[in-house]
Order: sequence, then structure tokens, then C-alpha cells
Amino acid sequence: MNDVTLDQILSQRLDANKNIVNVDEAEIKLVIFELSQQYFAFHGDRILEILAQAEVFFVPGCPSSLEGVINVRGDIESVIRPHALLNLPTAGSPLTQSSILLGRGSTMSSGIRVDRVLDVVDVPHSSIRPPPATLPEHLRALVLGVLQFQKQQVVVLDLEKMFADYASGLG
Amino acid sequence: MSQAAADGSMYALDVVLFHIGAWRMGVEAQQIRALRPSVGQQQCPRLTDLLHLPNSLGAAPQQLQVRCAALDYWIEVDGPIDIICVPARNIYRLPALLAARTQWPGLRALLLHQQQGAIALLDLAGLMPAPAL
Repeated sequence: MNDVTLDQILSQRLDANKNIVNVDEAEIKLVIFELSQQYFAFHGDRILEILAQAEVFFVPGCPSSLEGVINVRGDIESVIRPHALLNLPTAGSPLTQSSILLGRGSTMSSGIRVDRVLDVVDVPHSSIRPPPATLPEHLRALVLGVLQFQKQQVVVLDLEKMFADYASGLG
Repeated sequence: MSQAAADGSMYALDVVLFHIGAWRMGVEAQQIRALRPSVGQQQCPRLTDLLHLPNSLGAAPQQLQVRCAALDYWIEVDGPIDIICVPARNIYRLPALLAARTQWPGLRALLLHQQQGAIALLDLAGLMPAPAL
């Protein structure tokens, strides 16, 4: 018979647990979406809501990339089409699958029309690589990094910079 | 502050609504001193000119007398014209990106009223030519 006690075993277990180092890597939530057959993402903490069906009210006197405004529970938000800002063609985007991402920057917020929301995922920080040198010039300033998702390259966009560029007249 | 005061439900604004082509627009009623049908009146600038819009012949053109910098101007808009009282909660500040990108310097706010879409509320005084010195 062993002369070890239950207390000793439990104590040993406790010490063993103390030695376990949590090696889980910090993760980041991404909202992955499609624009003109290309995959993009925003950091999840920048997206307040995904609106699949929202009535957009046209506002005259705005550029065509500003679709209008939506009423989100008593607040009015603009809805922009980011295609021109990203130098993407707008044709061939079936409206039936499109959604509006309600994005929040530090000083402004807006709806962003996307062709299709693909997924909301948690990915390790390390899976996001710096923007490659092959990235088109017009995208570089807007890109935080790239990652692979479903064998496709996903470009992670800087929402803050996008809003600032759009407000300054780009797109 | 009461809940009613906080959400603006206890306040209301008189607004003059009109058309420019297919678009419904409005202006704060206190900016308007008079209105009259255009028929038989002296010609005056159309609002489409001030907004740099293509000039289309609208229905039932009306002239609004606008007070700006102690001067009165007449401008032409399309009818029908309605004077309504709208609760403040139906009037919205321009979203930041829209305010930054609008091509109309006189666009001040948006009004959501009776399923008519987003009605542009204009500051007509801001659109008027500066008085000659």
C-alpha cells in the first residue's frame, strides 16, 4: 500500500497546474467579406453590426459612392460603397447577398456596403502577415496585413484610414 | 433633463417642404418670409441653379422669399409646398462622412417624415450670393 495521502496528491496536482504555461496565442476577431470577388476583412472590434436588410434612403447632392443613409434604431448613419476607394469595379455584385457593415472609427462611424459577408473568425495574431510588396500601391496605405482564409488571400483593411481618406474626398 | 427633453421629443420645428424635380426638400420656416406661384411673376433664380443641378421643368413652380443678411431674395422651387411641424426627434444631424462629402454647402440636416425617405433640410441663406458691398 502506498502511504501517500489524498491531500498530497491534490497538492501535487495544484503545483503541477501552476507549472502549466498558457501557450494559447492572443487572437483577434476579423469580419471577412467580399468585394468584387476579392476577400477583405476589418478588425471585429471596429464593426458594431452586420445589417443584412436595411432600407437605404438616398440623399441628393452626394457622390455616387455615398449610397445614402440608414436609420439604425433612431440614429442616422451614412452608407458608403468602398469600391472606388479600393479601385475595385462595382459591376457584377449581386445586391441580394450584399450587407452593410456598421463600422466605428475613433471620430466617425458609417455603414459600409459589401458584396457578401463570408465569416466572423478569431485568428491568431501571428497569422496576419505584413502587407506584401506586391500589393497595389493604392491599397498599401489602407492595409494592416494579409492572411489566408479558405485558400484565398484576405486583405485586412484599416477602417480608420478608410474613413479619413473617404472624408478627405477619395473614393 | 427629462427623457423627453433628452431625445428632443418635446421640441418641434416648422418646416417648409417643396420639391426640386423628384426630390423632396425642406427649409426652416423662419427663413421664409413669403411664397407665391411663379405664374405671372418676375423671373427669379431657380434653386437648381444654386445647387448646381440640371435645370428641369418642375410641377407647379413656386417662388419663396428668403431673408438673408437683412436682404430678401426670391427663389423658385417646385410645388406642392407644405408647411409642417415636425418633432425634433425626426430631424437628424448629417453623418460625418456625408457632411464631409456633400456637394451642397447649404445642406444642414436630414428629416425622416412619413415614409418620404430622407428629406434634405437646407439653409437657403447659406446658398444665397453674398450681397454686393
